[in-house]
Amino acid sequence: MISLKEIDKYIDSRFQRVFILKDIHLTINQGEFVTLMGPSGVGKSTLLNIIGLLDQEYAGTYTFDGKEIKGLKEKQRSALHKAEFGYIFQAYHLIDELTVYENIETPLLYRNVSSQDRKSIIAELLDRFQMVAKKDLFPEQLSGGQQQLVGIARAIAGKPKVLLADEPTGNLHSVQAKEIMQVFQELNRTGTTIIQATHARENADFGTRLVNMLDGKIESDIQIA
Amino acid sequence: MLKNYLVVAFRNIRRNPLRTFVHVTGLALGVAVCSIVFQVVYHEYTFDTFHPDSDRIYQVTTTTGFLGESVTNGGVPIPLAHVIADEVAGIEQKTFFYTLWDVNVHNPETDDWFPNQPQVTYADPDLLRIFPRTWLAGDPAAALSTLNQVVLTESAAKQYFPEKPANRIIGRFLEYYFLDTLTVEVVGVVADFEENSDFLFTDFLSVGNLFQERSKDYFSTDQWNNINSSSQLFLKLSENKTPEDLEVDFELIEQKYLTTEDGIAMEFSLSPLSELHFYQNFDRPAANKAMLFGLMVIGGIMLLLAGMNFINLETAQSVLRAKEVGIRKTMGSNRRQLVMQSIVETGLLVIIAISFGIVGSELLVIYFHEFLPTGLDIQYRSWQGLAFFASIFLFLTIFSGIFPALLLAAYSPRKTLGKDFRIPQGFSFGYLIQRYLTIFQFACAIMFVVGVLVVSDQVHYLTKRELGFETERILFARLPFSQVTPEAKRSLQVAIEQQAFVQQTSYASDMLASSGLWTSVIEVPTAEGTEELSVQVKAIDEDFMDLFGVPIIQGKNLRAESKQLLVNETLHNQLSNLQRGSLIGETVGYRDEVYTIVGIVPDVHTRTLREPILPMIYHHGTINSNTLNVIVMQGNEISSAKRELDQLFSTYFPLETAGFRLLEHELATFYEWDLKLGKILTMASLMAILISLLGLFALTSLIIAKKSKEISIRKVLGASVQQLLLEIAKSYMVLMLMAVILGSIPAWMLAERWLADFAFRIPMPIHLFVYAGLLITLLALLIVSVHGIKVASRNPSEVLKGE
Repeated sequence: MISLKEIDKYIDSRFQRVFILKDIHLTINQGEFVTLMGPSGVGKSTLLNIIGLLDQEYAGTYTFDGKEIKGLKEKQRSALHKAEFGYIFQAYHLIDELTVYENIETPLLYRNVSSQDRKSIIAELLDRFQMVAKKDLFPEQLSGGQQQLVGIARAIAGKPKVLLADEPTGNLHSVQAKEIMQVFQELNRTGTTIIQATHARENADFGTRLVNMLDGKIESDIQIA
Repeated sequence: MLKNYLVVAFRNIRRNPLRTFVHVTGLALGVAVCSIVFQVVYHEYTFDTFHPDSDRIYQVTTTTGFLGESVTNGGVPIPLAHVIADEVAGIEQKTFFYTLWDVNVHNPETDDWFPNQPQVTYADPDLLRIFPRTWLAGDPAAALSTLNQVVLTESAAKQYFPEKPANRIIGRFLEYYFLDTLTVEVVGVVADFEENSDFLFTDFLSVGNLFQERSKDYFSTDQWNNINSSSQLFLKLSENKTPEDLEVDFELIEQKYLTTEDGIAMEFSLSPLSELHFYQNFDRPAANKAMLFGLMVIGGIMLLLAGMNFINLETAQSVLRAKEVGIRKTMGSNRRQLVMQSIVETGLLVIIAISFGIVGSELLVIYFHEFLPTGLDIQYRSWQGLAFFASIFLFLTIFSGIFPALLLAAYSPRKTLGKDFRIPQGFSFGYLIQRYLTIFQFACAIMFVVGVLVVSDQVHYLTKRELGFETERILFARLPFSQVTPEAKRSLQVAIEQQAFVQQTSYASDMLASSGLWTSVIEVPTAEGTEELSVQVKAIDEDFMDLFGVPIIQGKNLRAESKQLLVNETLHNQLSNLQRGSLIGETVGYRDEVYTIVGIVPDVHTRTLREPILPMIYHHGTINSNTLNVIVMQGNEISSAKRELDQLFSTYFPLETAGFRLLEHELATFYEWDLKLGKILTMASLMAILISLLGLFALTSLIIAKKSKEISIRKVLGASVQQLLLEIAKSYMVLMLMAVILGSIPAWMLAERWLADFAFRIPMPIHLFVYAGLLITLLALLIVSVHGIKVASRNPSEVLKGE
C-alpha cells in the first residue's frame, strides 16, 4: 500500500548537505502494525511526516495505493490525506478550546459527515474508550492517558486506513502506555494499518514488524509475529 | 461547521479577557464615532430629496458683483418672477414665494395672539405643487389663487385652532400683522413634511397680496435692482433640460431688465435643490460641507485605527494559535476553512464591538448634542441604520480579519507541532506590520493632540485679546423693525435711563461688535478727482462711543442729527495717503450727501478676529438704529439687571420674546465653531490615544513574553532591572520618534491652514508639537514599563528552567 523508494531528505547549510533521511526504501502493506525505532533525532518523525503527506520537501518517489504522491494536485493530496490518514502525537495536541466531544467531532466536520452520523460515530467511540462521562470536559481536565485516548478516538473517527503515531506513549507512564498499546493492537486486528515511531522497545512487541533506524537510514527490518 | 467555528471563537473570546477587552474597546470606539458621523452626514445629505423629480428642481440665485467682490444671494428681484415664464424656455413649472419674519398672528374669534411666527410666507399655488403635500382639508386646485387666503400646515392649524378638526377650520379667519396687515381666510390644511426638509413653512399667504399696490413700498415689488433673500424663485426644468440650456435666455433677461451701473453687475444662475441645504437660506444656518467632510475623515481614521489595532494584536499573538492550526491541518482542514474560521471569530468580536459601539454612540450623542443638527433623529433600526451597521460589520471583519487569518492559516503543522517548534525570532513580516501599524496609530494620536493644543491656544488668544472697548456690563436689545416708532423708542429709552443701575444708553444700528456687517462706499475728493473707498458703516448716536469706552483720539465726537463722521485709524491712514494734512474738517461723499469728518477713533475689533480691521465710518442715524445698547453701573449684578430690563422691555413691546442679551455672550458666539472644533478634536484625540495605548499594552505583553528568555539571560549575566528597562524602552523610543515625525507633518500643514483663516493669530506653536510628542511618548513608555518591570523583576530560574 505504501511504497517509499530512494527517499532522501536533507538540509543544505552553507558548506555541506546534512542528510536527515538517506536512501530510504520501505514498503508497508495493508494491515501491518509497523514500529519505527531508534534514538532521538534519527529521522523517525520526519519519515512519518512524509508518509502522512505533511511534508512534501523530499527527494525520491512515494507511492500510495499505486498513486505517485508528487504527481498529485494539491486538492487530490488533501483529499487523500483526509480519507486515508489519522494522526496521534506524543503531546496529544488536543484543541484546548474544545471539549472531548468536540475534539473528536472536528475531523468529521472537515469530512462533511452529516450531523446524525457524527453523533453515532462519536457515541460509539466514547463508549469504546469508556469516556462517555467525560465528553463535556476540556483537555486540561483530563490525565495524560485520557488525553491520548481522546487523541486516538479523534484520529480514528474519520475511519482512516492508516494510523500514524509519533511517540504516542512518550509522555505517559508505563501502565497508561500499555493500555494505549493494547488499543492499537485492537485497532490493528480490525484492519487498520498502524505506523508508530517510538524509542521504547517494549512497544514494538505489540506490532507485527520492527524497523530500526540509525542516522537517517534503515538499519534493520524484522517481522515480529 | 459554522457552529464549531462559533464555539471555538466564543471560547477564545471568553478565555482571553485582555485580548477581548482590547479588541472590543478599540473597535467599539471606532464604531461609535463612525455611527455618529454617519447619522449626521446622512441627515444633512437627505434634505429635500424626497420631492418628485427633485433632480429637476433648481433655485434661481442672484450674484451681485460690487467693487470686485461678488456675493451670491438666494433671492431674486421680484419682477423676475413675472417675466421668467415668458422669457426663459425650458421651464416646466415655477414657484415664487416671499418669506416673512416677525409676523404676529391673531385669531379674532378667540382673541389669541401668536407672536413671532417664524415660518410665514407669501406663496403662489405652485409652491404646494412643486413640493406637494397631503391635503387634509380644502381644495388644492383653488387655494391661494385669489387674494386674502391662507393655507396652514397641520401643526400651525393645531396652534391657532386647538382641538378643531381640519375641515372645521376651513372658512375661518386669521389676522397677520407684519409690515402689512392682512385678514385672511383659511382655505386649506396640509400635512407637515415628515422627511428632512428646509421648506418648513407653516403659513402660506396668497402671493397676490404681495403684488397689491400698497406693498410696493414695503417690499420693492417692482424693482429690478433690489434683491432680498426673502424673495425666492424655484424652477422645475422640463425633462432633458439642464441649467446650461437656460443660460442664454437668462443672459437676455439680464441685458433687457438690469441696469448696468458702474461697479455693479448682476447675474442669475441656477442652483440644484440638493445644494439648498448647504447654503444659508430661509434664516437657518447652512450645513457646512467642510465640517461634514472633516467629520468623515475623523470617523474614517478612528475606524482605521481600530482595525489596525486588531490586526496588530492578532498578528502578534497568532503564534499562540499556531498549534491549533497545525492540529486542524493534520485533521484534514484546508486553508480556506482555516481562514473562514479566523474570519468568523473576527466577525463575532466585531458584532460584540458593534453592540458596545451603539451604547458608546449614545454616550457621544450626549457629549456632542450641541453640535448635532437640530431635528437629527437617530434611528438604529431604520433601513439606512441597519445598512450602515451591516457595512461597518463587513468592512471591519474583512479589513481587520483577513490579514491575521491568512497569516494564521499559513502555519505548517510540520513546524508548529514538532518538538522543536519555537516562536520565530528575528525578521518576520508580521513583526514588520506590527511596527508600522503601531507607528501609524501613534502618529494619528499625536496629530489629534497637536490639533487640540493648537485650537485651544488660538481660541485662548482670541478670547483674551483686548478688543479695544468695554465688553462687560453691556446689554443690548434689538427692537422689532416692523412695529417701532420713534416715540416708542424714545419712551423705552427714557424708562430705562430712569433705572438706578443703568449708567448710559445708546441707540445704534448695531452693537460695537457683532456678526453683522454693513458696508458702503464713500467718495473721497483727491487731486485727480474723486476716489471710491469701500468702508464698513455703523449708524450711532452721540452717546455710543462713550458707552463703549472708546476714546476720540483726535477731533471731537459727532453731534446729534448732523452730517458728521467719525472714522477709525485704518480709514484715517488710507485717507492720509490720498490727502495730505489733518483730516479733521475734510468732507467726503456718502449716500449722495456731503459728510464732514469730525473725529478719529482707534481701531477696535468690530468683527471676529478672523477678519482684519476694515476702514470704517460711524455716522449719526436714527432711522435704522434699532439696537438699544445699555451699560450697567459698576457693582451691579448683570443678570438681575437683565431681568429688570427685560421686564421693562416687555411692557413696551409685549409681543417680543427676545429681550436683552449680554454683549459678552454674543461675542462668545464668534468662536462657537472653533470651540466646537476643539471639543471634537479633544474627543478624537482621547479616543486615538486610548485605542493606541490599549493596543500597545496588549502588544507589549506579547512582545515581552517573547523576549522573557532573553531578558532572563541578561539578568543572569548581571544586568540590573533599570538597565533592562532602559534596553526595552530604547527600542520603543525609536518607534515613538518616528510616530512624532509622521504625526507632526500633517498636523503642521492642517494647523497652518486653519490658522491662516484668522487675521489675528498666534505664531506657529512649535512648542506644542514638542509637548504632544512628549506626552504621547511618556504615556507609551509608561505602558511598556508596566510589562517591562514585571518581566525584568521575575526570577530568571523560573523562566529558564523549562528549556
